[in-house]
Amino acid sequence: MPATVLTAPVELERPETDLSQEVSPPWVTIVWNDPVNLMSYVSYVFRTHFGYSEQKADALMLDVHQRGRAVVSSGTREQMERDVEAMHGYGLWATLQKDD
Amino acid sequence: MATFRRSRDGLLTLDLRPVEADVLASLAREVLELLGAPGEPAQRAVDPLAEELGLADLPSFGDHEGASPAVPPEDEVLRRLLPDAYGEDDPQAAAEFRRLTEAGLRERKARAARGLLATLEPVAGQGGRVKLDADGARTWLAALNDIRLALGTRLGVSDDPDEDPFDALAEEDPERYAWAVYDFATHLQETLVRSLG
Repeated sequence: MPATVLTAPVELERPETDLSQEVSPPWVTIVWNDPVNLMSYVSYVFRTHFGYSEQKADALMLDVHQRGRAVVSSGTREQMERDVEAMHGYGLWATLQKDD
Repeated sequence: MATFRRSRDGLLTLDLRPVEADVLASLAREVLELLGAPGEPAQRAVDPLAEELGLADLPSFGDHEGASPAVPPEDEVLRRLLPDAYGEDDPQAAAEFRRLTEAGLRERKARAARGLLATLEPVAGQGGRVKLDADGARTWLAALNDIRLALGTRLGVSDDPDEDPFDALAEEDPERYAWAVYDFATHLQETLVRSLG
């Protein structure tokens, strides 16, 4: 009987996809230190591209400068590929990888 | 030395001497050639500045139309301008990403260099005032950064504050000139970032 099929409760009770609970390993964008890029410029790029506050951008820039690298963003692989491509556009040396 | 300042109308201004304008234009053309995207082929026979900087023997990249290559450029300067997006542990992903994106990245960098050249055109040969709006400032920042990356990589700039290669060079060494040019580009970029606030 078609009517039964159409009102099958399975259709109504299908759980909605909750993106925040999807389990997939996050990816990160890493910016590496290099001797050419100016500290002021690196901080400017973090503020401009990621919309970070001056404080956060400066802290990340100092991490890059002093520790040699910093994780500047995290998210899906596709988002990180976009961030890395943007960083390369700005001339920063960046790579993405799975968060470890 | 020419310095960026913010003027009352909100624009950024830069007063260039003739030689400064010409050096900048030569550097931008050098980056364009490096990217395989000469800006003004008619004017580009032999670039005396490139020769003076010892950059004249850079490999030339002729035909870039169509898909991007999957392998990183052999030239260290180009490799710095167009780096791998994945670390050494994932060369396959790096190759695939490069294949999809490198041509676009080259084009964006070439556009910035051409933008800088276009701004310089009115002051070529005679110097004068350059005025930049917000878009122009972004273009100049990107172009200046690529110029500095190219020069800095070629010169072997290091992070070591005790190592001033300039001191080690003989008075007549042409590399002294290249270092002075690098410092000039650095000064411009630094004052441009600061003027943007």
